[in-house]
Amino acid sequence: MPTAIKESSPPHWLARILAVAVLAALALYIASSAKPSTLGNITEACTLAVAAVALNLLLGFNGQISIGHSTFAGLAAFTAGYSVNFWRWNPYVSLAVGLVLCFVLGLALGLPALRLKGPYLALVTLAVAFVWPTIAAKFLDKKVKASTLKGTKLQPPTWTGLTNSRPDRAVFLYWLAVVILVLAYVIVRNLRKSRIGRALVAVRDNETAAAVMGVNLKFTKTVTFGISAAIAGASGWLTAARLDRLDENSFTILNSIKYLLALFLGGAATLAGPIVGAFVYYFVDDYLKTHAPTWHWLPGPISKGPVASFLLGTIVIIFVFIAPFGLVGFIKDQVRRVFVVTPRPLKQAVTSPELIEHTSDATAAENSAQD
Amino acid sequence: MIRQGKHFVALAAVGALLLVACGSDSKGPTTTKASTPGTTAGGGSGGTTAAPATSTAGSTTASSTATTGVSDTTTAATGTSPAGWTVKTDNCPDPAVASAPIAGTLTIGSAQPLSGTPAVAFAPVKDGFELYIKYANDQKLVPGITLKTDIRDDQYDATQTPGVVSSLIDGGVNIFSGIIGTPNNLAVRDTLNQECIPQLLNLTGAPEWGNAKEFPWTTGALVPYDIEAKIYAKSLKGLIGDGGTVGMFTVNSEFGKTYADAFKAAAKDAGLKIVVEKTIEPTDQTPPTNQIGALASAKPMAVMAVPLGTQCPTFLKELVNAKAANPDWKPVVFLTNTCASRLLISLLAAGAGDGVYTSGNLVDPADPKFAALAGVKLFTDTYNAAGLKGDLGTTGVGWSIAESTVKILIAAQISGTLSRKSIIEAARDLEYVPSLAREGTKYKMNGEKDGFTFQSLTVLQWNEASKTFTEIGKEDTEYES
Repeated sequence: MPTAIKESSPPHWLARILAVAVLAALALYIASSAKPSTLGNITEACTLAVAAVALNLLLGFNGQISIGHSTFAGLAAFTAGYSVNFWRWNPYVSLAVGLVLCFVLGLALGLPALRLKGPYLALVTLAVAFVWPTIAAKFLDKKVKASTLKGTKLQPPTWTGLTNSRPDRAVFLYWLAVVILVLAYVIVRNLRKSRIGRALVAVRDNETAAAVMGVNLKFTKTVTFGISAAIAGASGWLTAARLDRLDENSFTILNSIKYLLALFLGGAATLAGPIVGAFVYYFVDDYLKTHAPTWHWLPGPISKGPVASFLLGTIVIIFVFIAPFGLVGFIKDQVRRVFVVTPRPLKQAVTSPELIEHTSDATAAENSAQD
Repeated sequence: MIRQGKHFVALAAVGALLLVACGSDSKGPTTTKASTPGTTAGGGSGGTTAAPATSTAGSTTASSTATTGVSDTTTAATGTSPAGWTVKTDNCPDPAVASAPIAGTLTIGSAQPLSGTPAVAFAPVKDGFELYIKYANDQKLVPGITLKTDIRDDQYDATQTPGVVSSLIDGGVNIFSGIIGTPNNLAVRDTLNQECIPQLLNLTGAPEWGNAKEFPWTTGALVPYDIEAKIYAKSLKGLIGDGGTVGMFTVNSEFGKTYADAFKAAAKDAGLKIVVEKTIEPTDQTPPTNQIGALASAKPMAVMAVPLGTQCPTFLKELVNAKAANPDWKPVVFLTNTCASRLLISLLAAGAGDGVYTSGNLVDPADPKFAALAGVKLFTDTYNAAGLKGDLGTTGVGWSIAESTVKILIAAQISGTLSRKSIIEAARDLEYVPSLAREGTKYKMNGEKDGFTFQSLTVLQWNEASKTFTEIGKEDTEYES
């Protein structure tokens, strides 16, 4: 029999605070002790996680599939790279502008989503992912007049006490990525826990029922697309801050597939799932690429071929069978055998006589208006 | 009705997006950005042992004699003479580290495509590189130093290269050599120059690698694409005459764009007329049926093709189909030398490469007519002894790049101190004839005056019956500065 803990009870809060404290301590420890390349890897994993969090909001909580999120990342990255290098904009201003552009493009893409579902919506977003490299190539050709666009070369502000050396820059980019990931998480978490979040899930589960209950479908779906696109844009901006060069192949459909893989590995429709999935995907992939080519004990055709890609694909397929709800779903299942968090009881109905009177008046006025 | 409506909206949305992406370009095809590695490069002298150095004013001459009979003469600057090129280390993060002697083990790092589709064409480069380094250690070619390699996979994805290079730097790599791909090398050039770490012999022919003034720590290995294009235009003029028409098929990448721009300029000078241009995206692995169909419709007298990796055989196969459908069209076909491997032009092309012109500055180690050459014999014997199975020519490229790297290290050591500083100075002030080189090819750099390693090529024609390349004339050395 698992131990029950009431939601928002002192032990529950204690567990939450402990979890946050452990994560913060871990982040500090990594920043102070890891090599620049390790920090660079974590920064990349965070960048992937931000995009996966964005996709989770759209797909996990709202049920709208997108294979075109790499385009939003690309748009924000190119906006940053171009505005910083050609118009001398402050990189942080370019972030704000990039997010707005992504939000607007997301809204625009949300419009066909009002009529389309499942494979049809996937088709539209797939086309968006496919056309981005061509648009980027034409942009580079016509506007940049070069094959590549420089990144933002983001340097640590002086108040941080960090210099522009490789190790210091790695620390700075690491913290930047961690902060953006935390912000993305908090935004999605607060959305999910709010009335809007309940509307998102209602739309995902049954659009007709949601509409009957008063959820504005058009508003909910398009705005969710916009917010998700803007968060994906933050991931692209981070990439532009990290890389020296961007080109049309920096954001292809493969990136979108990585976002999806990270999301489903971690667990869609869970808050921590995309983050866990992104880190697991990134580091398993990195480990295999580094070590698998030397595993000569593998059978001939495998060891001689693209062994890392083969093994990663195999792991993903096996994993989907073992944990269909992702790593977080799998872990939750295991934890539930020991602890169960029981939800807070619903608040009592309003019993104040004044409010009852006010409500009665309002109802009477509504009825007379209808008459 | 609802379903039909969904279809319509989906198709309309997709169509609109495609129009946005593809439309409004009435000038014809566009070429752009990105990538390319190569399969031809210079090498070093196979199996040499460092001989006593003879100091002359401004330079040190190191005569090397191979254990297998290969011999060459290398001229390397001391780095201390007024005539020798020197690199400034004032702006390095730690100038002392850049000049610090390297003792014991020297690690050479690289990022190459070891998995994914590009690995099909380029993975043997790693085998060849490691094979030569093992040989160099066995023969103690760099006295007192054990050479180590650390070659990691970037899947030919330029966004992955910085991470790979960063982890190699943290892992203690002393120098980089043979990173494959133009965008991949560009992605790390700034970092490596800031860190003052030699980025030697980039396996791409982008003209950027000759910029010794701005990027002193970076050198290329392949003949610059603009020179290759000029050599082709000159050769084409001889084949199709003044005013001959040419169709171009290029990969939509940095590699293709550089090539296309250079070829157009050279064609104009040579009096050739470009009548049709078609492109293919770097990541597109589908047969370019439409593009080749458009070329066939224009019926140019010649086709200049610049595809990438496994796009080389698919281009050749489609061309054969197009020629079969248009029997009166018999174009002369020139193919970039990054496709000039037996694997791409013959095995994967299933015979479609017959008669195609390309170029090279290394001998084909699989060609029996070169088997007796000491350098080829050493390479093939070592290759066979190691039980390697990859494409011999592509493995030879890796072997040659490692050979050149070792030659640079020997020259740096002879100059006094083996350090990052002396290594890049030796690389930029070196002249020698590689053992796998065709006649006339030589590694020759001279500080900022000559920032390119190799600048000569021999035009070749693939013969499918004999499965060999036939030389068309002598090595073109006109552009060697």
